Amino acid sequence: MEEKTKIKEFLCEIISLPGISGYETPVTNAIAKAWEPFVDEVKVSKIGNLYGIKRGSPSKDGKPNKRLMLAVHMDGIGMVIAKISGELLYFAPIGGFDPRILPGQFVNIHSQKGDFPGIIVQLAPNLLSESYEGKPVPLDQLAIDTGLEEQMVKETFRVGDIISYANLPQELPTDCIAGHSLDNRASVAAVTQCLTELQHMRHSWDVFAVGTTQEETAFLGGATSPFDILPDLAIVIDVTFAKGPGADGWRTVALESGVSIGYGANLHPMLFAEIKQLCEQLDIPYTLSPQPLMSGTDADPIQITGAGVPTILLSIPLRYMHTPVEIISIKDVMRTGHLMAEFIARLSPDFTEKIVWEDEQ
Amino acid sequence: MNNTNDQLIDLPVLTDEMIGLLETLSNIAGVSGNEIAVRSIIRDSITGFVDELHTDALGNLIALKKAKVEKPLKVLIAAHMDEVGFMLVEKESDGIFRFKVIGGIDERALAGKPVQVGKKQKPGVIGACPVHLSTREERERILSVDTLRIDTGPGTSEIQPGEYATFATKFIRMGQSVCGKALDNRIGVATLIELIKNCPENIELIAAFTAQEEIGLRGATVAPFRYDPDVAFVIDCTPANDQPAWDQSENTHYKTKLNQGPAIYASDGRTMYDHRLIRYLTSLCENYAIPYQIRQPGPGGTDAGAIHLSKNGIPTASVSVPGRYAHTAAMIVRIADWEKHFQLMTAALAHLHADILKADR
Repeated sequence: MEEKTKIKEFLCEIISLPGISGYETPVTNAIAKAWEPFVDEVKVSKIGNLYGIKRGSPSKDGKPNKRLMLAVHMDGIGMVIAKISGELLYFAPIGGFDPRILPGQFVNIHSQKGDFPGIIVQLAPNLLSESYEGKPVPLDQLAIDTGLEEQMVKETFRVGDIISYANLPQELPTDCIAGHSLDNRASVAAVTQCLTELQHMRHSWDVFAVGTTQEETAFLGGATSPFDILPDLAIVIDVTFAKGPGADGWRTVALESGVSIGYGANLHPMLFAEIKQLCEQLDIPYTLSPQPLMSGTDADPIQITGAGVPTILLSIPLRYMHTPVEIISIKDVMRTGHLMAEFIARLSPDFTEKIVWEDEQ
Repeated sequence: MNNTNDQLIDLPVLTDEMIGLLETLSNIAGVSGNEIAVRSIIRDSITGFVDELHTDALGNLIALKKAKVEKPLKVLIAAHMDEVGFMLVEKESDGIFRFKVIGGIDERALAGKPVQVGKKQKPGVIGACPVHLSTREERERILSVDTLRIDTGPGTSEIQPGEYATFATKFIRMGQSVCGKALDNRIGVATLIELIKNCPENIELIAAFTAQEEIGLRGATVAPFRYDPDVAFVIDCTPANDQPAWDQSENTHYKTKLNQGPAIYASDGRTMYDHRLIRYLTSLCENYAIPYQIRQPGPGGTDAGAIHLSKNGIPTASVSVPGRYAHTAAMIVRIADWEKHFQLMTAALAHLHADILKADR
């Protein structure tokens, strides 16, 4: 099977699984299974981070290998039951999203009795606190109807049960995929592609592919995983805003335009320049993604771990972020994976010594 | 039930085949003005069971099943086969289309949904601005259809303005309920198909699968002309807004309630229903111990609004299946309500005779 098709199938598989922040296990297991053949060791940390460790060639001088961390958050946004009223479930958000996309969404409710389907509904105006004529109905007054009768609802669900989007991936032409949780499973797929390519490459650094938890809520995985790994360098892979209806301007890049390389205080300028140059050398399409303050990704906590970690941010363009109909291009996923593999293969044992500031050169 | 056919018949039960037929009918697209796919399935289902079959100038599919007696009562049963949906009206850029809503869909239920476009039901989405790029003030306004687009992905040159689209909802069972798009009124269509197959021999049945109900009862306006019916029944779906109110006050404007059986109309926004027929239907329910409810009089209406005004007037009744969230991506109907509705309509045909219409109005 073509590598692109394999990655597409894997991506469709992992966006069909729930992995809400704090409840990543279903997706963690699927990712662990995909990484296992490509790495020397797979571990899960005590708070749920996934580590796929691929050792580099042993160094000639007997010193321990340098460590590169590839960080992708595995979690996605979702909801949690906040109140049960009659046969209706009311909910609170996990992660940030626009409630205006909710009415009519299919969801799965993960109860202790199993998974149950439901739809998010907007009730008739006379049943709300006010009619909300011509206005969005606020999130706390949207409800989930499971089609079950009141007694069954009482027996099945509890406040605190987790809710995930249920819509299945849609394959669009020219290798695009639409679905929920492509933020950030698209980047998980890119790391998987990187590990695939590394099978046929020599590298001197140890590579730690890290699936982080709870990026959407507390940056838990990004803040804690560097303490397990003690990386010399980190690449964070996340998604960025693709141009499209409702999204334009300096924060957006075109869909299918390749890797977007972040620059700004959150990222190391020398590494940014290095990656950009490598894209040019390899003819990989790329765009630049200004991050004047924080990038809002795992790069924020990773950079300030311990004595500080030099960090790179690579982003995959994605339309309609934090809706269940996000769109990405598999081509961009493949390019991002390829770029990382080529970068890793070029890392010399003494590369850290070259990470210097302009005024020190 | 007075002088003829007094003996109670065995009532049919809802079979898995009928639910399977509903699933097929729910998943296909038949937006008002473009009912072709629905019509084909109906035609395939009833050919061989009827004596005449015509598609008229508006797209109504009208079947005649002759009686085996002289001068039979001519009974029209109408079920609309169209659904609300969208039409692509302008190609804005590669794969991105402006669209208009066909029928009464609340704009607030559009954003962030998967859709299917054209005859081949190609995938697309209605995206929404990423929450990160919108302001709080913007999120207090609704995402109007003028600002939304249908996105079929880059490189979809075969999709052109003029194509119809619907929500990409797949029918599912939910415990005691079914859930899908266009249950309003594919439930009526599935019921009418069964009624044709089991029609009593003393009745001439005119089965009208009407077009364009959702955009002004246009099919039903012309459907009665071909065969001159003596009496008409309209079968459709009607809203059940019977959920608990936000402030827990008594819900007095529920229209209909789930689990209370078929909803018989007394009056609505367009029709004062023939009370001889209302009495006939309610007494049948009582004799058969079929639960029933009178739909709360008020605005709204069915094909009856056009049919009772046809020619020199047709005594007309409406019997609907109660359901929640009509005209959204997914509607919920209790299977038991559908079964009771099917049983009532079966009994109504079995006991129907001309004397009912000889009583005083």
